[in-house]
Amino acid sequence: MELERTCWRGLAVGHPRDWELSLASGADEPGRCSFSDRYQERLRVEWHVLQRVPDLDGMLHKYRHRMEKKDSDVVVHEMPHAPEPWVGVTRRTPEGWITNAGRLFRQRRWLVEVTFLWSGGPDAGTEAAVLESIDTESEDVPARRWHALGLRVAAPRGYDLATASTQVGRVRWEFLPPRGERDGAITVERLAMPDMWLKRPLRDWLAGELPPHARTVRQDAVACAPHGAEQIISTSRITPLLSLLGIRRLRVDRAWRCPIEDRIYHMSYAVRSRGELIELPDGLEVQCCGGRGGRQE
Amino acid sequence: MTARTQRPPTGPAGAPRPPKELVTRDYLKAVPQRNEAMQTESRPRGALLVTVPMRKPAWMVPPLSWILPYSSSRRVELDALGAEVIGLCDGKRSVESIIEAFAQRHRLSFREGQLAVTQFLKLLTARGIVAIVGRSKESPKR
Repeated sequence: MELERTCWRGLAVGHPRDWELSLASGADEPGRCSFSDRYQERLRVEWHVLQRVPDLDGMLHKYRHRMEKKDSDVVVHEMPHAPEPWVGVTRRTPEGWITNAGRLFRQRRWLVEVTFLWSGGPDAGTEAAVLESIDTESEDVPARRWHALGLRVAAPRGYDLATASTQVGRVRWEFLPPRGERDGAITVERLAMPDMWLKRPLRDWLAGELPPHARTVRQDAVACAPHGAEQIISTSRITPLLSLLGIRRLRVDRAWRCPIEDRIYHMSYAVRSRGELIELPDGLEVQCCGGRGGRQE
Repeated sequence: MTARTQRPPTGPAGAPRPPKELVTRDYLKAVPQRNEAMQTESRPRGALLVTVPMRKPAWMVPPLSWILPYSSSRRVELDALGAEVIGLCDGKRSVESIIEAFAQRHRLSFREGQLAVTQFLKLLTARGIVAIVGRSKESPKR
């Protein structure tokens, strides 16, 4: 079974292509992702850090006992197809089937809990494939992967997703460096339907995306495989005092069109600086072409 | 979607339960019907001007009708995307198949198409341009 991969806050989850991410946890919240098909929620994944190692089998036994005691109509089965070391139970309720599974990722001390919701009978093959695909990302990787809603970003180490917004055909993520400083913020956008709204050259559109009163320092085409990109370096005033000290906000914007996906990608990076030289931070990478090779870094 | 969590539906003891397939499935199976009394006029760049006749309110009688402005029709200009959605509302296609056609044409995922089309249909319904007609509740279960 071919699974789509979503990576969110250090957890990678494979899921059927028609189960799309419908809910995801924000910064400083316990990890949570919810996936829905076009009709209803199908999969819920929750994870949190534990202080001590739990007895998962014992927890499962208690849970099963509690469910059976609470409602005699509920039928609870062990989950024999759960890939090791996942453990879980499937129960039938009047509204449908629910499978609960859990696994402890010892290295990161994460307890990952997965819930499958079925209105018909459970699909053991899908459940096993999804559980098999769930993995945590090591803490010492140079860049953390964020793959969701068609956007695939590797954010430099220490950066965390601060805001995520989805409008019609527009997904936008903002990453902030450690301690949430605004200085060094990275934004990445993926825009759909360029034929409908991109009525001028990409470089002109990119110039229109600069902050108000920004002054363009340099604008040029950048040769990046596999698609050429347009890039603008601009400066803008922060405060009058900082301007007197010669410190301004220096920003680099890069945009390109991926013909395979027919999407416009736009990323920007801004820092305070006295100079007029800026480059995208090391480790930042945005993949296009449906994740099959196209990338800007 | 914003990066916020929403409390998932929970049962009495906090155990998750399957969410009801309330609006979504029925809405997706419903069929939008165009207002047959409306008139359309093509505009440049694929836009469409729609004129919907308005019923005169019962209270709009003299002397109120001498004072208050009243128009016998409402005019709405739709952009190319709006015109495309209206074009797909042929009285046979369900909301789901309109979304599929729209998403396929613009290379969107189903959810992206759903966001765009349902928002737009809501607007068209509010303007009296289309009416959403439900279907019976038989639906395939997965």
